[in-house]
Amino acid sequence: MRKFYVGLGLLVFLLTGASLAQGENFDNLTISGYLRNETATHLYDFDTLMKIQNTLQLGAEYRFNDNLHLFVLVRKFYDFVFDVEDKYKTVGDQLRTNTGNSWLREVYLDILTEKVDIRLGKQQVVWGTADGVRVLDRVNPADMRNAYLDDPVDYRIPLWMLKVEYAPTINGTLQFLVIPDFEANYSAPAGSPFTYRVAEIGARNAALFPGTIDWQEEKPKDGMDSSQIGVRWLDMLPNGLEYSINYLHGYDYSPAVYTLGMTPPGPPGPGSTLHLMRKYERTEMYGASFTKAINSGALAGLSIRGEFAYIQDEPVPYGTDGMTVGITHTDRYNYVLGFDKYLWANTLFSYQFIQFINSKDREKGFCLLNEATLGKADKIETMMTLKIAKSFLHERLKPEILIIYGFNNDWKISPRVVFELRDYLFLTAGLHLFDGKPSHLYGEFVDHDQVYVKVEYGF
Amino acid sequence: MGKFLLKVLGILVAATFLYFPVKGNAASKPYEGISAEELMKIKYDIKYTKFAKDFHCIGDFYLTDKRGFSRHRRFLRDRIILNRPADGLDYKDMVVITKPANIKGLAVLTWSYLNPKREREQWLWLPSQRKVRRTSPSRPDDAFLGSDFTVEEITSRKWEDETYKILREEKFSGYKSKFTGETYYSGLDCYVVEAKPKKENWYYTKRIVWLDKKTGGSIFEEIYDQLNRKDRIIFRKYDFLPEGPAHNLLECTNLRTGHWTVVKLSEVKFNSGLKEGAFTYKALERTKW
Repeated sequence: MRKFYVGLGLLVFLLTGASLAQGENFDNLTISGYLRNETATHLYDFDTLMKIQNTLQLGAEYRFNDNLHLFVLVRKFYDFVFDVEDKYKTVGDQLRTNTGNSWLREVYLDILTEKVDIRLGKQQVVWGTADGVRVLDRVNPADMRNAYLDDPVDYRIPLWMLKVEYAPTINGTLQFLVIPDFEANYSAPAGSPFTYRVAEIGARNAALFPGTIDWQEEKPKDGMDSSQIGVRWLDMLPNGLEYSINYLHGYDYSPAVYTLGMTPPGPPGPGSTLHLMRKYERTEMYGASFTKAINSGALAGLSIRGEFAYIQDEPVPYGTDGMTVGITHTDRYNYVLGFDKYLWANTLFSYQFIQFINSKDREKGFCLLNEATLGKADKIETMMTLKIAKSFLHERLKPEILIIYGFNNDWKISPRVVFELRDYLFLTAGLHLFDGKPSHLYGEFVDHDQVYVKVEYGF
Repeated sequence: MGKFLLKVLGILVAATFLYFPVKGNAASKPYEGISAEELMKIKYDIKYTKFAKDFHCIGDFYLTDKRGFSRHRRFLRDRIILNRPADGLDYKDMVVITKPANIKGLAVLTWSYLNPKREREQWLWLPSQRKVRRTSPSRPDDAFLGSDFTVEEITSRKWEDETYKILREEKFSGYKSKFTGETYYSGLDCYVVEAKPKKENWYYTKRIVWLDKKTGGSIFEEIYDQLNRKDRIIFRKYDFLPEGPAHNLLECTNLRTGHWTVVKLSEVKFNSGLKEGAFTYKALERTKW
């Protein structure tokens, strides 16, 4: 099935090339891209680099006519840090560059009409409006090798899918997704610059196990029966309240790890084999979102937004801190409320209040565990974010800061400054500061405070 | 007549550098003995006229500092004029940045309403996130996209926001464009009008505006700051198309900093049959970059 998708992409490429060759019409072709270097190091240990990544991105849009467009986006990166830092050499083969055909980021055909839009191909679909957290934004899996420090457009993993949008009214749109493609979330292996604690614990336990470990994997099968289906209705009421209702018959892109048993039975020894299985399970998500801009009165200029997701039967590990006993299933109620306003001197303040609520917090006497850290998961996890952004020098210099605070005293603080050297040359410098307990989402990276510089040449 | 003017004034949130034809009827021309208020109504009629059904242009935006260092942005602009009392919508406007590459794809969708008290609705397409974000429009005294124009000079100033007085009639001394190097409108017969904001402690105390006596179009203005010092100057050049006068060049210079902004418009199309469906959330999600 995967070959079919690749073949479809190549076919589209060939059709484009043929069309260009025949028509010699380059007026309808737009090509744009960038060349970027990002260098990062530990804030308190400048000698240990974390990233020396060069990236070339190239995008091309060809408009056959107003109703038929083709878009291709490729991105190739190479991170030299895995060549120069001995510390990361064991994971270099997995992380230093794109694997498989992931360099082909997007390739799709747009068929646009007044009432119906069709987008067919490899693409990203984004639901919701939250910043820094994914509540409704669950259509595409994520590349978490940099622990969500990249831009969302870069960390989302595009999927082959069909997107149809039907607009029965001017503002009302019904979106329908069929996603036969499947990719799992990508997490960095142990020994990487940003490895989640679950991977470090897994690697440590594997090293201690005297025998061998037999990994099995159960991914969704090829075929329409295994496809993901998404539906979104989006509309705006006469009072300006915009809302969406969302449903995703999807998968949990992070695997639930089941212990199948050990052979031969008995205490582990050099001849033992531990059978484990990564399983990607079906989940159902029902969600909704809204946005409303207040246009008069004391709150004029304030935008309020919110999104809610109810996720049914999500597999979650349970056990004790750092040790999984088994997998259970829980319902989750996640929501975010956001408030955005420009205050004095064109300064944007954006505040979000977020809660992740589990339908239970215990299983067979054990506590539920966070999938990324294997730390104890609270029944209600609360977070807040604050983003402040401003520009100077006629928008040439743009400082901003994003603060994410978990109520269990878990922090991430990311200030950055973007400076436009020339129209085509942008310089970014910033920090990622982490604080908290190792068993929490940001605290696990407490020793990974990072300073980075990014230079981007656009064309 | 009153209703007509009310409707016209309802679209005063249109962009300064928008490029619309003028109806050109007798009522929209200055006449002998005209009052300052009537004259400024005509000026706004010209500046924001909605006599076209839709509009398309390419805009080039140059930001230049006193040392001559210049930055360039290019945008595509589409607009559909609705003037629809049923839902109060005046027009919908879509701006997509196409240059430079680093911000290519950034798009802004704005809906404006006939009721001058109702604030615009605005959405942004954020290329770095591949998603649409509802935003609150910037404050009227903020800089517009980092330029020397303020937001209200580009999008939101209304006829009702100021009081007016005709100071004199004179021949305009001419304006030498920093962008083209040419001198425009030398010797043009003008009304000179003083416009004062009704808001107290606003960022300017008055504007002195030169208006073409033949058309009522504003060609030049001086903006005075809170200490009554001449702070900025704005020049507007028009093309006289069959439909009427339309902006094709705007320059704003900050006299304190020496920074100046040019907006040059090209490839203008009117009444090309744009559909309202091209001005929706769904249309923003069509953006590829």
